[in-house]
Amino acid sequence: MINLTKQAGFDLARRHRAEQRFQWAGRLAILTSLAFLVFMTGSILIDAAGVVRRTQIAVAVDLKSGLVDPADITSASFGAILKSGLRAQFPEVSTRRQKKKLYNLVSPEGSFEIKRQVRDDPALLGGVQTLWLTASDDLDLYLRGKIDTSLPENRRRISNAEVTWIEELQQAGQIRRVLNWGFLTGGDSREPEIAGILSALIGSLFSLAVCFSLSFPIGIGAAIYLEEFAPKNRISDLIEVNINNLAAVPSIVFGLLGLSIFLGYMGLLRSSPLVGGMVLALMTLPTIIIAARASLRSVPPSFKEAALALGATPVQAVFHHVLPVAMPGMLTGAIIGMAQALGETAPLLMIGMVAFIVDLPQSILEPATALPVQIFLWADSPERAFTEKTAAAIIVLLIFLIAMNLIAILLRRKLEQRF
Amino acid sequence: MKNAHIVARFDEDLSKIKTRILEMGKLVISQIKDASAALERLDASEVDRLIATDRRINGMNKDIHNRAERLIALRQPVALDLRQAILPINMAGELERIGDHAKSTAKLARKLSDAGAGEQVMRMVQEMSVLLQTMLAQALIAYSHSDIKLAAEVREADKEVDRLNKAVFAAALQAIRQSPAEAEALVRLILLARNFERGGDHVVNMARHVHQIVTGEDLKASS
Amino acid sequence: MTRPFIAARGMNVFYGDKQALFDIDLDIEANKVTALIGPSGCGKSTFLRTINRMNDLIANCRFDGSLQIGGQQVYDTAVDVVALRAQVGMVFQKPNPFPKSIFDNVAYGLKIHGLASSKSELQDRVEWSLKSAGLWDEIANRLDQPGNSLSGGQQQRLCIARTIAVQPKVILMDEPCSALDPIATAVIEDLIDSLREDYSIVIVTHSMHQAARISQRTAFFHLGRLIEAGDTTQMFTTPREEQTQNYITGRTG
Repeated sequence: MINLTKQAGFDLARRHRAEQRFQWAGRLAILTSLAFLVFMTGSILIDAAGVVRRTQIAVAVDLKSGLVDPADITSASFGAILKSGLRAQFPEVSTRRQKKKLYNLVSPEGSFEIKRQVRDDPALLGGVQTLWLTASDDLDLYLRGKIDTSLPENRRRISNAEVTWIEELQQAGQIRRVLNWGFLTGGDSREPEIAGILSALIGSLFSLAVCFSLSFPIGIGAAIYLEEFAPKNRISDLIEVNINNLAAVPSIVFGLLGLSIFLGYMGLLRSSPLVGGMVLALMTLPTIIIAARASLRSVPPSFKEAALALGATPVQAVFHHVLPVAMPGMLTGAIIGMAQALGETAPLLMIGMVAFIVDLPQSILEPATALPVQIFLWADSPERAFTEKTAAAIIVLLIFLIAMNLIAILLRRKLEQRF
Repeated sequence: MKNAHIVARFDEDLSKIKTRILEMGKLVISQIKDASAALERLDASEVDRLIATDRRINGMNKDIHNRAERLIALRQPVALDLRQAILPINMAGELERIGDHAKSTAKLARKLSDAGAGEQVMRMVQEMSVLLQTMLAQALIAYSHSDIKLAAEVREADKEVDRLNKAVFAAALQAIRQSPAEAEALVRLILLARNFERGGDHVVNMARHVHQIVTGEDLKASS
Repeated sequence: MTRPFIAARGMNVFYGDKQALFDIDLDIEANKVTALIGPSGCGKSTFLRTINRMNDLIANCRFDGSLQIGGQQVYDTAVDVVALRAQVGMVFQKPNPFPKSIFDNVAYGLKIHGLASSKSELQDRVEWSLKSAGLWDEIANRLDQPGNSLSGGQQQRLCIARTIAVQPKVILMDEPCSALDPIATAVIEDLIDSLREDYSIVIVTHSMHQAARISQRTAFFHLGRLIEAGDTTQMFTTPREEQTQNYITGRTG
């Protein structure tokens, strides 16, 4: 008789229990990490929710041609025009302190917003116009209930008088909340309500472009030479060990290197994406070389052998047959290296890409900042509203990273499908 | 065992063929012996048993043929192995033919009533029979031990059989002249001697096969 | 006897400190199939790879002695391995078509050596090669499909087509049928027999029966030494050496 059941012996009960234990331990580990992930993204998303909309106040401003010269709009004092508009709405405000508080309802950017609206539509000139202007960050926070009004007046950012004005404005329908496109299209600002991410995004893009165009060809070239052509001896072993070690060197060291060589010795432009990209390229080179070599090594040697046996030169064999097969893996490695570079802050701090950049950089030679540096700067700012901006910037960075990984996956799929 | 095949079954199959040939050879020898004895005593009582044994010999020939065929088909032997598989087919064929001669020798015992004038001829024929048995036994030993020297001796011994055959012919002719009445019996003895002479040729062929198995050289083709 | 096309004299090959071939004297005749047989690690593949200098790829592989092809020394500083390999083609154990289309596989050698002056000539020569390899009828209408979409036997014939496209003088084959089923093997064996008219073929094989079926000459290697070489018929009926006898009959000796 043959017994095929669990009672057959062979210490089955203990072995099955061990199996179950391990599987449950694995599931638990996955659940824990998932919980952390959900917690992290959840808290970031909740924090960033406030950035989706911005608050605007409608202010009636007097744009009589006497105050603004149609031929030279920029020279007009829109600040004064705005202030008088506000005073007109609340004539009872008289003291200097109160007036200042009244003006603070509107973002300091308000006067520029009037200027821009007038410039875009000169027809506004010549009368009293009601314009929608960005409200201050405090007003925004108050409206969203982020300011605790039960605290004593001197311990909160909004005084009782301001609260009354806001309520008055709300009743008059002079306060609204609109989608905050400015966050995605604007540059940095001291004022959280109008601070945008685009300048940092462009800075990051420029740096990455420089980084990729330097590190990819150099890295691939080095990998091909080391893997396919270099004689295998002590020197090549030494180089290999060093490349592996370089991949583990803290990024700030590369930043120091960039500071002393690119800025100190070569005298290149401080804070520019060019230097940033060069430093990041230094940092990603080892990663790319290691990934590219692994990818080359995974190509069956039979292709190269077949080509050589046909009379191809070694370079022909590698470039015609090994490289096309290794390319998807190389690209994946390069993009992972780029993603690493994208998230890197320390080396950029060293070469001065921490500048306060309001205008969008137009070329790789202009001072710029990068996404992770922007996040660092905002996280460091005292204004309460910058917390939200920080979270939102993190989301932008994450989306950027996910997009890059997606590109890596798509590229690999596309290239691998060719035979 | 030296030079053992990696597949033990192969060696077993080969040695089984060899054993069968040796068994068949032994049976053929005893067949010649018994047939000659029956003829000498002119005793017809044994003839039926001898004819039955000849059928068994024919069956053994078929069996060896089948074994060799199966071995070649399943194991695709080459060189020495191939010769060890193929040549036993021929050797079994030769043995089967010697068996046939023994059978016809036995049948003659029925037809001859009295040797009479042919007594001297009969003695010479018996001598041929003994010689044939010895040659066959030696050929089998040569096959069993892959002894090509012994095989060469067997081929040499056939000359004696040929000589005896000629002597039988001369003696029988003389006897017919002296007593023409016994001509029929004497002609039968001449034919019988020819049978043994043929048997000798078959044994020579077997000795050649032994030589070919061992050396790969086909003596018939080269001579 | 015809003049040998490839002649090895006193040939020694070392891998580092380990000697792989000992004092080999072997003649390979033109327009014949020469089979190299012997147990694994006997040096037959090493000998094959010495002929087109594929051993150069192995670091610390050293050659000593004389190896001539058509009267020219193979291991000579004046020899360009690219020129050598263009005239001594090789087919490998595992079918290894390039990860490209069938057409590109065959055209590759022609392209790198500049053997076709026009597109139509290229197409003609690819077609001729595929026909010579007995593959044309099966794949004529799908030349643009990847080479590795073919069956194992077809892939190996594609590799043969790729090799003969550049019209070498010698074709080296390293156990070309070891990954194939018996029918595909038979097709390749028939092809090898027909290629014999135009090329000298040296084939390493583990199957003694294959060597017996397709070769005219056989060389038996054992532990890096050439034990015996001769006409295949003689080798498989009456080998001179007992070692050869033991090997081909499958005996331990």
